[in-house]
Amino acid sequence: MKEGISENEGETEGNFGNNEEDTEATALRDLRQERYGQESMRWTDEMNRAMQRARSGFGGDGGGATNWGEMGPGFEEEGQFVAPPLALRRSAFCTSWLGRGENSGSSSAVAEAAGSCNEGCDRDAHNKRARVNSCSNDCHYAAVMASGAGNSTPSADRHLGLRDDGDDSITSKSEDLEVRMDLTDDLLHMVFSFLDHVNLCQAAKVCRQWRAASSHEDFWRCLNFENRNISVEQCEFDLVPSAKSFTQSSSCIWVEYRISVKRCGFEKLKELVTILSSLSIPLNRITRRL
Amino acid sequence: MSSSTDSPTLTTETTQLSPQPDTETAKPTKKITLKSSDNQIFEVEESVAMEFATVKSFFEDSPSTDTVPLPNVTAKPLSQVIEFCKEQIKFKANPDEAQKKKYNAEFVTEKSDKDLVDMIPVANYLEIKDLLDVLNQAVADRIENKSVEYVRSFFGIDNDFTAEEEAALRREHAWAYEGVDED
Repeated sequence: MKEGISENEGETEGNFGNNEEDTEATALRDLRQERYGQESMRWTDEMNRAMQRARSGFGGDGGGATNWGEMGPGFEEEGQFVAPPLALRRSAFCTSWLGRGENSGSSSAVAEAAGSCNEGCDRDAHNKRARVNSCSNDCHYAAVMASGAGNSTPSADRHLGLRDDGDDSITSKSEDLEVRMDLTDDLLHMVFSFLDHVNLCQAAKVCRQWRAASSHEDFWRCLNFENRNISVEQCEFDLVPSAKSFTQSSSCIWVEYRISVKRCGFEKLKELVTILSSLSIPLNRITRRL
Repeated sequence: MSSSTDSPTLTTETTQLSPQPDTETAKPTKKITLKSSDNQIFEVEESVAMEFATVKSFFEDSPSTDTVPLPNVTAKPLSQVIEFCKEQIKFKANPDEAQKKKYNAEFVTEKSDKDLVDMIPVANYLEIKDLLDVLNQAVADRIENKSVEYVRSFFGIDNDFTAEEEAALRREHAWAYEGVDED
């Protein structure tokens, strides 16, 4: 199993050696290091960053993942990264994941993989922004006076006339006997933050709003398959041919991250599971924290 | 359950809630009037009102006001929120974590599903973080490991997925199906 992962690292590296991206991805770890200080988790940070950019390559049809050869220039453009010591990272990779010392391919593979998805990343970045905006629109109580505050002072209006007419989800007179209880996206987000992944997946099936809310990236930075019995049969293999081609190398870690890291989390879980299953990584031992 | 707006019964709640300087601070405190979107008047101790960050900042900005309109808060959840905050003030004055936990747990368990969910936007709007956490946890607990149908009925949500989308979700989440109660 583990050997299988590492054996082809050399190839991967050869194919994708690209120091710039490598260092960029590397740099990402440091930013969050304080927060996730455990040695064994270090690599996850890097992965996370790489994933953040790369993830959308898997989006929808998974087509973005096929462009391994076309490393985009996007990473250079974002030149906000610095280069921390690679050796340290790599050793963290080795010990926590593969248990071997020669993992030199892993980090670069990760970075490269990330790099190959630059295009997708840009898109992702846009989506993200749009998402934030729409969220604040939904949840923000614009200064529209509701009917009940008629006798308030002007300043009262200013401060507390917060109901946005476009937002039908807060307590309102439209509430009828049918017990309709809607929460805005940010409120749902708060409730969901108390749910585990299984329940988030359940929640995703409730309705579109919930699907969107439950797939928020915040909830999918950590994957825990502990005590889950995941089989290949539960996955579909038609998704990510390119990802499969990656699975023979240590970059599987990357693939995993690419999948798990972002808000598309649950939609991509099956890809993740597929990949990991084909790698025979014991799924019940996978716990992620980014 | 049909809590809503304009229900005359709420007036009685108002009167229950407002006049009771008994249990709290000894000194007579200033009263603050809160007005819900359905025009219910709530007179609360200033200390209680100051638990509402939104109201507090309102007063900081315009100290001369005596009535605070809360145009997106209806009377019922507001009365419950006030009830909660009164208790929290007691715990503040007299810290007892165990008691507080117990109270918080009881506070949510005795509420209906709808009451809980209705209070969330109110707590959020009034910026009562403790209550918001308690409520969110409680709602999450109530829908945890429940079937999708149950959750939909809990929230009164209509299924707006197409059959295709549902099937896709079902496939994607196959791994998560184990151990889910069917209600």
